Amino acid sequence: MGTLALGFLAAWTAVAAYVGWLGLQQHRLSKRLDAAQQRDTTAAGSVRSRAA
Amino acid sequence: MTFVQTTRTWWWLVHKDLLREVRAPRVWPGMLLLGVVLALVIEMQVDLPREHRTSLVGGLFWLAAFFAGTVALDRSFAGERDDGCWQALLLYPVAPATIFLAKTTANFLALCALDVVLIPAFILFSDVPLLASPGPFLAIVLLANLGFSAVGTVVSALTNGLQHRGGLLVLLLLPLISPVVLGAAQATRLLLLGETGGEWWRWMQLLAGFAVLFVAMGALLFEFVVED
Amino acid sequence: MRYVTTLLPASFIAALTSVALVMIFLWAPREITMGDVQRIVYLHVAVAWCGLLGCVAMGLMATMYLVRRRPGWDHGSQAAGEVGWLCTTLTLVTGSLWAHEAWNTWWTWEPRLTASLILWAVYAGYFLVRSSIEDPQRRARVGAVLAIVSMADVPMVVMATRWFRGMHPVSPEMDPSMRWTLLVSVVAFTGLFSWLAVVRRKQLSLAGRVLSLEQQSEGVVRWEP
Repeated sequence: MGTLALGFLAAWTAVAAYVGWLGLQQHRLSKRLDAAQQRDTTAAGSVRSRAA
Repeated sequence: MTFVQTTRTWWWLVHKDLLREVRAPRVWPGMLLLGVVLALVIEMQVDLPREHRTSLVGGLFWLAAFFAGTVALDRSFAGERDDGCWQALLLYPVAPATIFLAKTTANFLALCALDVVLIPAFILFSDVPLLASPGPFLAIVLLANLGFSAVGTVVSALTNGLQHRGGLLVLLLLPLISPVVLGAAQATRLLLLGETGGEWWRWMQLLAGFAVLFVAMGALLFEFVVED
Repeated sequence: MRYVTTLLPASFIAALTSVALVMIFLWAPREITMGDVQRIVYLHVAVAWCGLLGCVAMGLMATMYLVRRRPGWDHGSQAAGEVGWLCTTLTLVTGSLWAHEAWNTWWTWEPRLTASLILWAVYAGYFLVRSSIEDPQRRARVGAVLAIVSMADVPMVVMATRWFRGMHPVSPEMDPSMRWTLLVSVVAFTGLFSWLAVVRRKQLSLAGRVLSLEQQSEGVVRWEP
């Protein structure tokens, strides 16, 4: 019985770890996205002001 | 290109590689030496009575052949890159599949040369009659070398431009080539035990199947390998 | 729209997985020889199937990438590979646990197990190579070729029990209720892992877009005198 529980626990832990890792990647990605979009609008803004 | 032209080009490419090796040997000596040293070291460590040795030598032989053969595969594209020949080769109106078949043939011949040295070495050191049934054993060797050189050529070309190339090649090659090494080792073991029945045939079919599969895959995929 | 594309499939898969778990632990009868430990087989077969499916999907999507060159196919290939590798790892773990109970050993070099371990190593090699290439297009191309070659191992794993004599069970006699549990388990876990792969693929596509956005804005900044 212990073996059965161990098997399912291992599976659950592995999947949970993977999902957690995906979540971490998502968090980092959204931060990068925000930063990149910020830089984009700032740069675009300064170019525009220079052109004007 | 017509079939005759393709064959001529193929032969020219193989000839070029062999000639280059003859004039300035940089692959074969290392490979052959490693093969002999491996045979020596393995036999030094494995100290078993005759019956057990027979069932073990098959696997050990192919292990040594694999590791020594990797030397040849590793260097098969390195030479081209070093001399800047790679770009020139790609600029020629040669189909990538033909380049693949030529490289595979050159590597196949190298592996056969390795076996010419390795088989006597193993017979000498392990006192097991590897060549007791030469015909079937030759079939195993030819099929294994074909499968091995086909996959090795593709992987070698892929890992050529990467960092940590050498280590990566072996690491990548080992699992991909496992069915071939396994098939060869098992077939050799059964052959040495004299059991060339249904199971031996199935291992031979596995070897043949993978040889054909890897050659076909390599020929089809090589144009994507050489893109840059 | 969000409800249809995201929540509905997710809820359906969650429900199906719950049903499968109920069937595995409560509905399926207790096995005569091994007892309750046998229930691990329902998970083992499901993840084994997913591991193989992942390899095939990885290879097929890689082929599509080489033909069409759309990054989405490469992302899908990588995602399928990640989930497939995870499943293969679980296959080896659950199989090993079952083997300890059934054969009194954690491991044996019989054909099916050996082939499965090779598959695991093939996945590992694929990710090792991918991680060593910076350029996304080169990584996609090299990865694609490797993924296609990797598919060669799948027939070896599948046919290992039929072609060669070994210890791994082939098609054991099963009670109909056990067969149903197995079927539901396989379908449920395939759904779960497929959904996971789709989520990961979307994430990889987002990562690709973020990268190009970063490179774009870098370019704009660099043009400023």
